[in-house]
Amino acid sequence: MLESILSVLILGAMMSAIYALVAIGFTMIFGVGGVLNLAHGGLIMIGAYAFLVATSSSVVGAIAVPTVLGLVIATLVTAVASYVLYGGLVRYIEDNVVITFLSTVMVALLLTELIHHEFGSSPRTLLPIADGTLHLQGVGTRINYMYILGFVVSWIAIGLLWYYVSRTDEGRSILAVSMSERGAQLTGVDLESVKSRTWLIAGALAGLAGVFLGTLQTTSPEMWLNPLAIAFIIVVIGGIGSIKGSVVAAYLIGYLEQFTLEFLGTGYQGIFSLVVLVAVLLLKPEGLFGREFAHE
Amino acid sequence: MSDTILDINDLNVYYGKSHALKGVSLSIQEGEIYGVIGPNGAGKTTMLNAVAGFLDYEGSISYAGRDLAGQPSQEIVESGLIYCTEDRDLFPYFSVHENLLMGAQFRDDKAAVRDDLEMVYDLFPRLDDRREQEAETMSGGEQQMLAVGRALMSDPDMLMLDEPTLGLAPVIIEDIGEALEKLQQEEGLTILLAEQNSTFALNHADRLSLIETGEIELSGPHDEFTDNDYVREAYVGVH
Repeated sequence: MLESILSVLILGAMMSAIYALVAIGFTMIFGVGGVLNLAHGGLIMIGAYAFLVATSSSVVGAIAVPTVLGLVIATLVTAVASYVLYGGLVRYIEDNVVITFLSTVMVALLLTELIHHEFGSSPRTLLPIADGTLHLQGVGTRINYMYILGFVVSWIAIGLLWYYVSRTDEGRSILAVSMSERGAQLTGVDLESVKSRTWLIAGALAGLAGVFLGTLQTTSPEMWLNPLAIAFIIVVIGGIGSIKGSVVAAYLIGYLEQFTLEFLGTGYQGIFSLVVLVAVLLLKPEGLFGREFAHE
Repeated sequence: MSDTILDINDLNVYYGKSHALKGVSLSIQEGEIYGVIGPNGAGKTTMLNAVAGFLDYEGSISYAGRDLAGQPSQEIVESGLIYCTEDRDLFPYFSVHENLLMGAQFRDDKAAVRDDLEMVYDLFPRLDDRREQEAETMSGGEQQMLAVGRALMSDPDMLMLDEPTLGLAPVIIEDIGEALEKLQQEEGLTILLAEQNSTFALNHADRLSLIETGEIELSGPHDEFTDNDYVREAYVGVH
């Protein structure tokens, strides 16, 4: 029993870090432009498939790059895809909530079809960047090295992002826009540049998360749905637009999932997240850290 | 004779079918405090919004010899024309210090930014005492000081202030008035002050205009205004 709990604590900490990456990008995009990007899961999928293409010679018949380089490529490709999604589509329609909502769903569905067509519908296996498992003698559990790597990479990314938004003028401007667009204009912030940078960052985080989720869970044309749902739940619980709230809520949801997986089985995986979601909506509808959201 | 810094010529603004500004012309000299008084809804804010690049307009506005038509707001800010809105538009969850840093976010000379921070904290000691406090939690007067302070961090040549005394206690209004005169005298700042509080504007402005229903009714130096019977009766309440 104690061993199971320890194992849940460790695995939960790692999975939650990856969830935080997914949710932070989603919430930042909502914060700066009020855009609910339902193609966010699609970006995660792009990350996973970009990694697949880059690291396996069988897919395009070209040279396969080392997996670490594959992670870098997947991150960059997804960042660019996210930027293109903003610059090529969302920026023209972002003032209309319904059109944006529908268009980003369309993009996600289009990606699903595209990936069906190019890679088939069956799940693909991604090469692990770090192979093998760590055997924790004291706890009596084994942890896939990919979990550990995902945890470390996620926290490095979160740390860098924290430094960027709290210690640099460029990064602080992103938070500023999410609090007051007019205030940002009055202080000479270039709104277009802030939005572009936000989509690039959100894309990069989604790409990173895509590689780890694709390796640890599945890489399939439907893989975007679950992360999108999780991002949605986390962001609502943490408070829309709040980066800190996303991290805290990611850990709440990540641990809940691990506990249900360990003690109740996979069938119940998502149920408690929904219970918490409903409870938060009833008791604290602005979310746990919702005050950072001030977009008008 | 000093130079014209802001020149507004035949400015017209329409909100749908309503004609909010009807051919307003003003010219503001470098280094002066210029007051624009008039009742609520007269068009003072509309005029400032047009100058700041937030509204479409007809007519011409030029600042420091450059036509502002079509300039994005960030370029207007970088050219030294800074606007403090009536709503203040502070960053509510940033600290006082972070709000001030945002004012200087586009400036590269970090040493000059540090000097300006000290200048703002000297000018408004209440901000110095509250460096780490979130803007949202401060009193109206402190928020107004922060809005002016944030504007000063952008290294302005000219400030546009919309109703800086609205809802503030008399003692705070006094502080803000003193700060504005100090900025004019010591920093050579030009200030365009839009006020319903005519007394405040008359106390501090070198020249003024009276605007009513989108039109300028009267413009002139301070003494001409205080001597004008209509202004005295309608706006100052002194008989």
